[in-house]
Amino acid sequence: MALWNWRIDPFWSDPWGEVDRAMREVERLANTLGVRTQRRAFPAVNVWSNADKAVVTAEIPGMDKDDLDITVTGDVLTIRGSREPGDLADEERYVRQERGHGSFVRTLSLPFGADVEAVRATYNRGVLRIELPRPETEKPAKVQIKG
Amino acid sequence: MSEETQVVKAERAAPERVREEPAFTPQVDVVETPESMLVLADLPGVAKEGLDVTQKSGMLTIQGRPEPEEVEGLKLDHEEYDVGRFYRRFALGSALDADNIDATLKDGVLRLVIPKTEEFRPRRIEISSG
Repeated sequence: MALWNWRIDPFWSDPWGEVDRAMREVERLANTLGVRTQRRAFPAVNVWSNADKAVVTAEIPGMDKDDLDITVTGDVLTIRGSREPGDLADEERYVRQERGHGSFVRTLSLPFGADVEAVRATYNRGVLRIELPRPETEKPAKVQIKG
Repeated sequence: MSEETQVVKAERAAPERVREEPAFTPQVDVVETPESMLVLADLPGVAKEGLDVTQKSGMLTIQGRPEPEEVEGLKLDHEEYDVGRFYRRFALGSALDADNIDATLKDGVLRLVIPKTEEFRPRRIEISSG
């Protein structure tokens, strides 16, 4: 099987959000009918935020934590990794092989320059979660109205 | 017909279309070894408590409910995946010993080892010299 496909996507403006949602509905329906579909970018990510931080989550099951490489440079977050299929012995063979494997790179543009030292990442139950605190200088400040 | 062909055909012949809620079909690998069938299923977000593997009348059912993500007080800015129930069913061939399935869950991957019944395991035939 081929490597994960990848793309660079400055998606904070999210013009494809509606398309994505429509595609996922199709995908879910196809899944229900037993048809397998291929996602375009791996890993799929969800991005959450509030005034204090942004949180990026990604489903990457079956990884060794050490095979995940997360870097932050300014406002660019990069997630790299590889998931290798287990080696089969001579008498073993795949009857079915659906789970993806290979190396992947995902680059995301953040809405703010993150404080690299403060970024925290956890990997639990196959879900990667990256917490990026918003630096003080990037937090919205309330403007006082005089008069 | 070999047992793994039965697995595939029975699954296609009897898709379950009526469910109480939409479910995701987990991607699986199935590996045949001389002694067993090995099933690996991706169930990201699922903890042991949310996993249910059952076997009845030759049907193996895998169900998983992911732990909710901790997103209180956060606004969803960009969504590429949904979190929801996983569900998949397989028919087990008669060559498989459904009562002795070994299941482990690690990092969102379920690993099932389904042993073959004694008569379907390879036996080395000793050649006696005449």
